[in-house]
Amino acid sequence: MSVITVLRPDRPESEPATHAALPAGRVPIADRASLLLIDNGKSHAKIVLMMVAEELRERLPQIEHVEVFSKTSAAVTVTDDEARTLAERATLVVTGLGDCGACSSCSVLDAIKFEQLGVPATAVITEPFVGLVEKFAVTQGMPGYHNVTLPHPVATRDDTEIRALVAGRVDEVVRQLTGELAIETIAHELSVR
Amino acid sequence: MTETLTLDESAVQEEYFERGWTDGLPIVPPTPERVDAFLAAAALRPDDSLGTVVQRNRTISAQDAAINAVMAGCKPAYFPIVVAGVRALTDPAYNANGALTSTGGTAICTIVSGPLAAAVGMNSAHNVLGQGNRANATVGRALRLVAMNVLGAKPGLLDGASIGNPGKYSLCFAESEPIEPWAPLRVELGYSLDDTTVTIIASEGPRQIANLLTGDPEWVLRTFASSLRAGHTYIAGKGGQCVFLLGPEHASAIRDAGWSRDQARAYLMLQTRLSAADLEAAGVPLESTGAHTMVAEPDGLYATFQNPEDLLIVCAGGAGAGWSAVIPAWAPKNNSRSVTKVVEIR
Repeated sequence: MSVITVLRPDRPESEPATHAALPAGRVPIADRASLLLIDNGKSHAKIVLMMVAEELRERLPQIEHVEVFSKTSAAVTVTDDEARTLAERATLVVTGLGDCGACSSCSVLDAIKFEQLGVPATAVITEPFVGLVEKFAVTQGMPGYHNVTLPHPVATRDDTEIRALVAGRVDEVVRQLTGELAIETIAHELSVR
Repeated sequence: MTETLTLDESAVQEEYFERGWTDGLPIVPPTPERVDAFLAAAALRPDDSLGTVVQRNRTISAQDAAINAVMAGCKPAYFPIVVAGVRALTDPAYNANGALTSTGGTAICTIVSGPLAAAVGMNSAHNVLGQGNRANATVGRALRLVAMNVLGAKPGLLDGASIGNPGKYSLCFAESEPIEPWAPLRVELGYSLDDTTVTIIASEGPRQIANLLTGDPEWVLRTFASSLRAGHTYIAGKGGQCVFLLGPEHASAIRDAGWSRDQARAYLMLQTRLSAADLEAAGVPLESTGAHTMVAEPDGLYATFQNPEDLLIVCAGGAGAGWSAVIPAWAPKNNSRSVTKVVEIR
């Protein structure tokens, strides 16, 4: 039997990034906070994000201002220059709606970019793409990076259904952005003890 | 430093299959000697960069490309063409991250225009999109293996394709000499007649176009248009790109009527406009959010193509009874655009 030497076609580091990246620290939200929504333009994306914003403003009254940044395509990420400029005035960031391959990856990449700029963030995606975005997070040095998962599909649902889905996830959004449980969740947990 | 494996030669295929390094087909073992021959053919050093996909934190080296080109079954003489293709793949305009991740499942449609295509034995004639030609098959396959192995575009990893299409194995062909007085694609794109260029577009699979019964250019072009005005075509009404592969009969019909390709483009642009009612009849609601908002022209119709240069009209295929093909882009232009690079001969 002959033995040959062959080269591997990928990289040993093709799974993880060459360096670990840290998410932004979670600190108490100061007054006059600004919530940035990165709208990828998918069907119902802005509706979902605006509903998230409404819910967040009820739970986090420190949020005084909501800014919406609409990307030119759901399949591209926010540019580095755009992210730097937006991050200067954002306290919290929510991106979405990731309900397909390219758009979910880009929404999570956007969120991670803001984390690396020191701004707490999360991405709203739909369930089939949880595994995909987990892989992308690994490539960016943030394995296990969070996201907010809605049932799929969202694009074919009406506003009432979407509002119910969002309401059911907003505690998770608060936790991811602030590191704290929402007041209602704490109150509920206390009430059942 | 690229990792090497020392294996019993009889075990190489199974090892590469098990590690997910193939496209489901056997490969040519990438020995250092074979890889070196490819690098020499393109006068590249192993660590020369062919481009970066920022969203994947990945720079593709000449060695990366050579390893995967060997695996694909390329000859060394094909490698400069592969190199141009990889450079195009990493061009930001192509948006490799989006195109390779999309549930749309894009092929890397690759068109080679120029003297090197024939010199290395590429097929531009009969069965041009089919099996049997080593250069066509392996150049396209090399690009796909690079995408899979170096950019992580694999199902279950970073390729989110729902259905995909067979062009994801390889979709690569050479442009035939266009009929007089038309100029070849590379000249239309601003390159020299003596250059060889590689144009890639993130595409659906090809659709054969049959019009066997008329030589009237308007009738022929309306057949093409009918495919691109259909509601199931994602770019319909949204401003995309498309490769129009004209078989000999259809090219002759257009040329013999005295039409230039620009005239053909203008006619196709008109014939591929559609109404909201057309989409509705196909069960497709108008997209109306953010960057996906469809914008009607003043007369209320939606244009599938917004610029003439988005219609890449090339001659290819063999004489037959009136067959051509359209290869639509996967998505509107704001998501990905075709990219052309010249093949560097050093």
